[in-house]
Amino acid sequence: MNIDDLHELDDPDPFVPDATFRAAVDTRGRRRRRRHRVALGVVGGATTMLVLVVGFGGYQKWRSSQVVRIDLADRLDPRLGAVSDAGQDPPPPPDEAINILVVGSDAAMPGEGRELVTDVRTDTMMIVRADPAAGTIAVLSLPRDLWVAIPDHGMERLNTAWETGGPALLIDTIKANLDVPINHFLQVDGQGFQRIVDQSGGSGVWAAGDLRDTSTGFVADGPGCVHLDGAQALALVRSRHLELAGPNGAWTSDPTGDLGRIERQQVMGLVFASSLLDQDLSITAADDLLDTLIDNAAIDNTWAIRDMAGLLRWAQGLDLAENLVMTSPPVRGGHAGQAAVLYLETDAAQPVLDLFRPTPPAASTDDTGTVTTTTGATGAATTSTLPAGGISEGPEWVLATAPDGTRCPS
Amino acid sequence: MHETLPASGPPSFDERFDALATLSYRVAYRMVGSREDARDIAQEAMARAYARWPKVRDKAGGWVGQVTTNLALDLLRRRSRPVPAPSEPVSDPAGRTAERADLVVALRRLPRRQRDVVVLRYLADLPEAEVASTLGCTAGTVKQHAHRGLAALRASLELTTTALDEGTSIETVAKGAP
Repeated sequence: MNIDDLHELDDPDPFVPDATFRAAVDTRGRRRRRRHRVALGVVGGATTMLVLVVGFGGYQKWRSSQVVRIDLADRLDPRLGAVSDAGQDPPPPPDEAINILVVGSDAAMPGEGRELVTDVRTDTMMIVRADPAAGTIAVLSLPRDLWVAIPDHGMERLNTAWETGGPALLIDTIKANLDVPINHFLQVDGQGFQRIVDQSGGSGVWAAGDLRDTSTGFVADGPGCVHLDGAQALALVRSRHLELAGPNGAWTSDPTGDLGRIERQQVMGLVFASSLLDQDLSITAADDLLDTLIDNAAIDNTWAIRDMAGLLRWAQGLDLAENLVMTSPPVRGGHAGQAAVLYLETDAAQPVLDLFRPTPPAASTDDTGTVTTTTGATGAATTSTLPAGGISEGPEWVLATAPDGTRCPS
Repeated sequence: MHETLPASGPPSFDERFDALATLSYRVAYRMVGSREDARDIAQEAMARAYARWPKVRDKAGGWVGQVTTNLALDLLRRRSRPVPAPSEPVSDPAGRTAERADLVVALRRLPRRQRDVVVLRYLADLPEAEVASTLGCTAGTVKQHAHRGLAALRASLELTTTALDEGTSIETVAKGAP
């Protein structure tokens, strides 16, 4: 046949999309959109693990164990309904919304009696909001290059708050710049993440081609499904300089840096959470995972284990596929001196931040999904100052499913 | 950029729906040759566009064209795996089953980038500028890939046609091995 006669292959009856066709698209599309929303940050994934594990009755073990405690009593916003560790009754579910600052950091967990090491960069900073009244969990990923006013330190990157003042200064900075209350603090380190991924059998993701990051040691042979063990999963979520191999062997870098990484962390979180939720964890497997968390997590000193257990039991009863919202504040790329930083789009950020504030105005999580489905910059206004592609459109080099929608085996 | 956005702001999914669905159906039908399958593929492609419209809208034509192609190729791959039943009813009102098979085989042989360009430029009938903005390259690159891809496609199609004339099966020529 002749390539110029492709119209001969057309349907002789012209296709007109009718109402039935449109209705089918809407139904399928809504189902897909919900699935997109179920993106969960990496540390959010660790939190899910905590949810599952504590659901197995492991909280008694937690209670008696040596979890690293950080004194943040004068920084955190107190909760009226906080439950103490006194009493033997099963922990009650929370009766108010709780904001938890979750940090994934390269810092090794300090041993008993040692100071928490904070002079290392963070991999992930996010605010997880559990809202019992709405029956939802919302996650706000915070870019570490966000340009913020650090109390008594002037304008710096958000990550600098962590590097110089640890959790206390990070909490102060978030409250001062985003006006979002923080009730509790949880830190998980890279080793913990790696062990959890290994213990759950690894993760399957789809790679658009050969990928690498020479600084974290990440390597993937694509295109196609790739299996990641804990070390490779960690190398991927840490990757800020991911490169894709072109047809001529040249490597292209992801121009979006930290935001591309946040998108990949959300992809990883989704894969990780769905594989966890599909798993039938044996009690011994659950015990191993719990040990990992004890070794590799630190929590604030105001958070009673029994209170945490009540929250986790509540979360376990949620259908995460329907009730988990992943967000990130709208930002715009720019420069402060020599440094590439991200500026908060203050006005556009308010509807997103409202989701994490007390008594949020009428939900922005309706089916139009204008707030909740967006990661990074929103709208055309933010893309003008950015390098080609815009930061809301990080390259889709790593996906939770293959392009045809099938899941990669984990 | 060569994007032609209306002054009123980015187009809504509803505004673009008919044009995109028609594009998707056309691309799918040219490859699979069945109304039912083409409808199904177009529905799936449109559902995916709907689910992530804010990311898709500025390059919607190209995006839908690419997703449609991938869905069609996947469907054909799945169908070709089990031994094809000779009595399988073929619902191809336009006929030309053999030509379609040739086209798909030839497309599969193209390097990825050339295939993307050829599909968007000739199967989806998109203008060069739109293909370029979808694939994130220059119009010059599109022109180059289109030229090479088309030449390769022509050669490939002639090969299968000749083979048919000589009585060799397409399968043998296309795959080289059983």
